[in-house]
Amino acid sequence: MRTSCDFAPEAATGAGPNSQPKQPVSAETRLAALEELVHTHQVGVRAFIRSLGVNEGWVDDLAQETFLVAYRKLGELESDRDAGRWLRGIARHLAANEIRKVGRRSRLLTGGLADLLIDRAELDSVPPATEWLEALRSCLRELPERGRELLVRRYADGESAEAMAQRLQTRADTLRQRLLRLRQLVKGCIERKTGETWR
Amino acid sequence: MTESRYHELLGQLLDGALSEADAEELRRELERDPDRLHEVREHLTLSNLLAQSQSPHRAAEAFWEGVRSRLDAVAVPDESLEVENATLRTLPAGRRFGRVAATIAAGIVVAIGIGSQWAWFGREEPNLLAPASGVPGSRSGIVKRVSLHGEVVCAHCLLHQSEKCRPMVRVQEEGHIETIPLSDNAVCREFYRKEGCGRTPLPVLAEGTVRTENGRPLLAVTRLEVQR
Repeated sequence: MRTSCDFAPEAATGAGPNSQPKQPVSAETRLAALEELVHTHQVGVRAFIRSLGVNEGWVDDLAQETFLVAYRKLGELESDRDAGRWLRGIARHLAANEIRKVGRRSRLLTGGLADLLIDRAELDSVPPATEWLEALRSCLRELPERGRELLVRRYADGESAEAMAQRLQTRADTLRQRLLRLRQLVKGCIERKTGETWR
Repeated sequence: MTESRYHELLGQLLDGALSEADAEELRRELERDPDRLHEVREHLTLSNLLAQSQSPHRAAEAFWEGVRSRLDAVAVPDESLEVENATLRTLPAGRRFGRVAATIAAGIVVAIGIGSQWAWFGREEPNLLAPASGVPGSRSGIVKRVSLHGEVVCAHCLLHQSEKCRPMVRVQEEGHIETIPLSDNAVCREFYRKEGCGRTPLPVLAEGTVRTENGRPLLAVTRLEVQR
């Protein structure tokens, strides 16, 4: 992993040069603070990173790196600050760094899509939380058996739409449309259960 | 762009099947239509939530484990290397080890021996190693930096010890064969992606840190290279 990060800390954290220095804290305290951050925000940070156009296989890698950067900069996190927004800021800068590294472009969506998604990232949008995952599981149970099976095969087993289409003797595009509709159903269900609107 | 074309491209994007040209076409459309840009973002988010909720290796515990492993991998000070470096070889007798290295290697073997259950990416698995007796639980345990010559073997295909494929590092030293689980980190995943799970044993050089956590050994690799 990278042991240093080449984005400006002020830009990422909002901590300016006049920030008050923090008292040194023990390694145990810092680790506990990190664990709390991860526990509270990992669902949202990972989903946010995916929404920036990072390919699914690299999302957790970048999210872990986000928390490692946060760990190094814990002293800059004010108690009254929105830690989730702070983390999303770090994640966005890390993703932007990936764009500049030729060897790592494969980690991002192609065709300039990731550039656009990162450039127009919405740090203040409502981030998914752990409760959303619970709602999502509940929503999956409410889906018709065939629909649930499609989503489980796609996301639990990692089977591509192409492979599923071959197995089910249908067209890949047809299957992708079914997956699209299923995701929209799930989204509506999550919003009903959490009482939160996605936007 | 028509609705059907947009949905076609969106479906391909979420399936990882979008060509460069189609991606550019979709990007132009998203630049033009902020609502569709928002919708794409929603679908990406939802896809990730589905993966998090459905895939065991994406569980919260596995994620935290990955953060811890990477933290440990960079947290071991270089000054400790003098006394904590260890090298285990697949080769039988014939290679001499320094006293310090041998001592530490023995320590690692002991650490490995006391391991009990290990959950790969958050999934419960049967015991891979002998259960501990009288070993006090430790949140992080002692971290040792190691350089191992061994082989990657699949816990499922070769060892029949897990339900799913997962690479482990097997080392041999003076008649002892030890198999060490790998923590979920980028190096491990990259190896898995490029070389597979170790269905056929692959000779490797594995460098990283070994620690025990609640009596369980864990190797966080910072380097895992096939020795062809």
